[in-house]
Amino acid sequence: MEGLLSLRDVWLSYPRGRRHVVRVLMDVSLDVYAGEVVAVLAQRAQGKTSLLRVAAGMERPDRGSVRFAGEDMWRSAHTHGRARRRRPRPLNAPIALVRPAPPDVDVPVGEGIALPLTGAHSGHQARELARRALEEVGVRECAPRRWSDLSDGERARVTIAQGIARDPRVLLVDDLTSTLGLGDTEEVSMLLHSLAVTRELGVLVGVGDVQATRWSERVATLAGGELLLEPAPAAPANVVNFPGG
Amino acid sequence: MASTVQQSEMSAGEIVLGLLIEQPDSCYHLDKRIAERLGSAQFSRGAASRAVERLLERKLVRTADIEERAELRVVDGRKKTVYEATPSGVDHFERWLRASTQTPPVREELHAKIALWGSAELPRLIEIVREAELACTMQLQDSNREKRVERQVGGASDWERTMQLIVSAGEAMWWDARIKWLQDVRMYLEREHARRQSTAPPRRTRAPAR
Repeated sequence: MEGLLSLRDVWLSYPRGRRHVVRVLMDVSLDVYAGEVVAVLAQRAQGKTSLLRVAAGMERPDRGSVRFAGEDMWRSAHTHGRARRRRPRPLNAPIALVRPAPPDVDVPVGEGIALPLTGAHSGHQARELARRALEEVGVRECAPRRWSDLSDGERARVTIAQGIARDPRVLLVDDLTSTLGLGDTEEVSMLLHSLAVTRELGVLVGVGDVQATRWSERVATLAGGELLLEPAPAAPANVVNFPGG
Repeated sequence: MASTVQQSEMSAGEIVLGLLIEQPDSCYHLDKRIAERLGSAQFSRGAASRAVERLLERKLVRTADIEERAELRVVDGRKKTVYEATPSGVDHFERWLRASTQTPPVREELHAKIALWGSAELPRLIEIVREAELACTMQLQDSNREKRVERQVGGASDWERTMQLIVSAGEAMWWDARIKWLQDVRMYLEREHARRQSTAPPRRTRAPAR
């Protein structure tokens, strides 16, 4: 059973100088089903962010496939001729990748969420979407405040709001809880879990410590570019599967 | 007061005793309550009945004569014996609870294997470490599942929720240290293995094909 988001045998490397390559991901396979939170547990510089970027279609893997709802994200990039010379572009899938902005960004929260939405929506609609997203994660009162004035816990929630304001079907969250204490980590993880369930959202989080995996349906570990995950995971019973995958 | 309790690590005895002080119970239910409260300790089924046997011998518990909690007595249509703590059992438990705890010794199979492995057959050791990491993650997943269910049941007081969080965090820290150690071991060993391979026979490095 293929997940809503499905990575198969993904390899990724970055060139280092002319001769060498740094292998970042080696033969990584992972499925994320709608309605579940999957946590990727990794220490620093082990390919967590790269994995999320590949999953979001922001990075094209050297080998292997990334599929959303059964469709290859890079299929259109495989065309020959003139298209080949253009920079390949991924499928426009409803996948949102968020990570907290640096704490010194001096922007009102509501505007910060609304602004990127104005391409697809009117200014009024965008502000309304931002307001609703903030309300959904329980920090409505943060909208007029400045990002730099928020607490770490509020920033984490606002970051999630930023993701769901785009109404994605897959939410990818990078490094959200590393600055948080025990109580906030618990609440933010719980929030992601309940969003996954109520919105039938597939959630993939990159985390640096086990406490942040406590509300995840499944946990994968990533070290040295190698992802370890329970073999051939059957879709959990409470999870909505993508039909026909 | 110096404690007379000699206890170097957690045993099922004191846990069962503590649970029986909270509420008299049958061995069947005790096993379930141990799993709920201390799932990661992985006591086997039947650990409660073995502990109860030893506690009976030491007269720290006795069979309870409770008529009003009839629901505890019948499981799957079979009558179960319900146990309760004796006054000396309560006394023993109180002393155990208040005694200083000792740091558990690091006495762990994989640790010993790595220490004794020598330099041959690195791939097999890497495989063992990888298996341990995966097994650890799967245990963590199970523990997470149990914790989620437990916390969603609701009805817990603020105090109980706080305690659940703290106990759960203690477990999480343990998993965290364990998994990170295994990852580090695996990466060092893999690097060492790669180094040996590259120095022994000359080999072409495979760059991934785009």
